[in-house]
Amino acid sequence: MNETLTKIKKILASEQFNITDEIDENTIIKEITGWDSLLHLTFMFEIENKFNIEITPEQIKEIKSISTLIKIIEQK
Amino acid sequence: MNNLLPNTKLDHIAYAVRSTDSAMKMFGIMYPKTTLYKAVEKNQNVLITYLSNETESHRIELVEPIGEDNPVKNMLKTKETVMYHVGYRVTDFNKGINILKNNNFLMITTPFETTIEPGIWACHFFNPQCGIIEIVGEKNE
Repeated sequence: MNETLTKIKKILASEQFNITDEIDENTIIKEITGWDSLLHLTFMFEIENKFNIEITPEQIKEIKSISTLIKIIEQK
Repeated sequence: MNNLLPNTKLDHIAYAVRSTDSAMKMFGIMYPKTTLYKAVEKNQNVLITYLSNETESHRIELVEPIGEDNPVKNMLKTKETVMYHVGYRVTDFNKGINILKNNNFLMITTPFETTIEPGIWACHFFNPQCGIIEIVGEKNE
C-alpha cells in the first residue's frame, strides 16, 4: 500500500478522529461518517504537521478526496 | 510568555447565521445598535451585519451566506446559527500573518482586502486549541 495512504489512514484512525470507515484512495472525505467542516480543518492541520508541509487555503478547498490529498502531499 | 502581537484588540465575535433578520432579533437584546446591515463581502460571498452596544467596544458580526461558494454554508447544514470565529484587530497585518503562520496556525483563507472596510485586510486561521480566528488590520508597507 502507498506509504502516504498508510499514514493518512493512521491519522484518521487515531483517537483524535476515531474514524472507523474503510478509507482508500477513492474515499470522498466529506462522506466519511460524522465528518464536518471543523473536523476537516483539524484534519488539514494534522496533515500539515504530520507530513511537515504547508497546505494553502486554495488546496484546503481543493482537497475533496483522499486521492487528491495524496497527490498534494506527494508533490510537496 | 511574550506578547508576539502587542496592541491586538478584540474586534468582533462572528456567528454564521442562516437568517440575519432572525438572528438580529435575538442578539438585539444585548447588542441593539446596528452599525452595518447586510453589506456584501464579495471576497467571501457573504452578507455582513455588525451589532454593537454602548458598553462594549467589540461588535457582533453576523455572517449570512449568499451563493454556493462561501466559507459558512457547510457549517449551517444542520444548524440555524453557529459560532464562527473571533476577530482580532492587529496593528500590523503582515506581521500578524507571519507570526500566526510561524506559531502553528493553519491559514484557511487567502488574505483579502475587505469590501466593507476598504484599506483593511483580513485573513482566517485555524488551530485546534483556538478554533477559527480572524485577524483584521492595515498593511504597513
